[in-house]
Amino acid sequence: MNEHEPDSPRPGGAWWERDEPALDALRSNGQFDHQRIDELLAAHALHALDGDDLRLAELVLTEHLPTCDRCRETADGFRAITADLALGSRPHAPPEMLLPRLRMQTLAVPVDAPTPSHRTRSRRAVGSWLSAAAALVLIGLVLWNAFLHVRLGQLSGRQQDIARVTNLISQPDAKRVRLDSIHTRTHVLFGYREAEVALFGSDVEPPAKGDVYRLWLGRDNGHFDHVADFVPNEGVVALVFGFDAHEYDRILITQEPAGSPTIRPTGDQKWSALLRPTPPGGTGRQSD
Amino acid sequence: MCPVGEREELDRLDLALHDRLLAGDPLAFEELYKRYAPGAYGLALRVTGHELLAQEVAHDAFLALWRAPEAFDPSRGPFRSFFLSLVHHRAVDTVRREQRLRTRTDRAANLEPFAGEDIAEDVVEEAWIAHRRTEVRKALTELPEEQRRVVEMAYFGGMTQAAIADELHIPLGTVKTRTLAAMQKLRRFLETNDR
Repeated sequence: MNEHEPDSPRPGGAWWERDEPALDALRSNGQFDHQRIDELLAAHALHALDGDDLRLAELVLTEHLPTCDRCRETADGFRAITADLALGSRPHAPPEMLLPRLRMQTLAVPVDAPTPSHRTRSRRAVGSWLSAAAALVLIGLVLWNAFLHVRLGQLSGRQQDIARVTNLISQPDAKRVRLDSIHTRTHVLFGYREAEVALFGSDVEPPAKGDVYRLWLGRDNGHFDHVADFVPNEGVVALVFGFDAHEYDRILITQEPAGSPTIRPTGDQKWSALLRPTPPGGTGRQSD
Repeated sequence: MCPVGEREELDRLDLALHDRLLAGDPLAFEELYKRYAPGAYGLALRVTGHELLAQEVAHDAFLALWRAPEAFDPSRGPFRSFFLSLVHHRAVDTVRREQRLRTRTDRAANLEPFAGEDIAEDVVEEAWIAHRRTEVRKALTELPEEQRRVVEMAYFGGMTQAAIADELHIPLGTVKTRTLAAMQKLRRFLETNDR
């Protein structure tokens, strides 16, 4: 075993009782060279060390500081200064997508969580939230990819569409469903709340020429209602519609000829999901 | 004169928000985001010199805060110091991983000026933070040029002392000496004005 592994016991007691050749490098005539220690502490506080100097500084922090009030006070002072140095940079309004991205990932924990600390939640609840978090991370990644895509295209109008979708999907009462496809690895996200639904996807291939994608909501009795037709805009789908999805059991996107009747789905099924809890062997994934 | 009472009030509010964060309150998280996102993003942008990298740094720092709020120990200093240090460390780590995305020579020679620089118009800051920001900038501008330069290259450029020595064609020992001298002066200046 390597005796310097972090978890392995070290021989001897305090550092001055042991053979510490590295710390010896900081001694002069048997006394610690505090000028050199201060140099290490200043650079360490700035996060500007690497290699041997970094290892030596960390040794000073763990072995010397607990025994030296002077150096502990110096280290605290330098840490405070580096924290202040952060204010030497100009504050900038963060990008609009940053908070929605974080919301996607923090929404996995409900606002009215009954337990006092999320360190003490039950394993069952944690498992449930982990599932939700996984889905939300997926949503965040898709949104982020689309955002990068949009950024590159400098399309402010689409940014607004994405922001509208993000806003709807990130509401605490919103339901979120991932639509899978047997034809493509691209996922489409469907969100709904109250009388609004949102559809989101990136890297979505366009339908065949003359066709559109058609969004349907269906019930278990086989009845489907047409919600909207759409085509991706340079691979991005970011749409919000006024529609109450709560009474429906499933969602379906087909590819249909543009202008064809909208009575029932007849074209190729592209993406689908269940809006109700997934039965064994089902295809949809509900993520709230 | 530094409005110490205002700073203490700011710290108290941060502590209260942090307590709520420990209980998993997302609204507290959003409030902390509102208070620190401009500073965090600005710092990350300054260090990385790249908007998307800066956004990733800020994102990761806030997410780390949400996932492990207990990492902040109030006995070791104010929340502001803890969080901005977290952002800085992540930004420096990112810069060192993404060296190919930036030209070190350009960054070193084109450091953002401190004097006469206004904050973005759409950023609203706590009065004490704005005040402290002014003091920090003043302290930096009062350093001798060669000392300020090594601090800037280390802190805002994310460079190691060895890299700075290489960049400036000076001995590593000189970088260490200048860094320590700068940090001691900054400490004297900022601690005096913190009282």
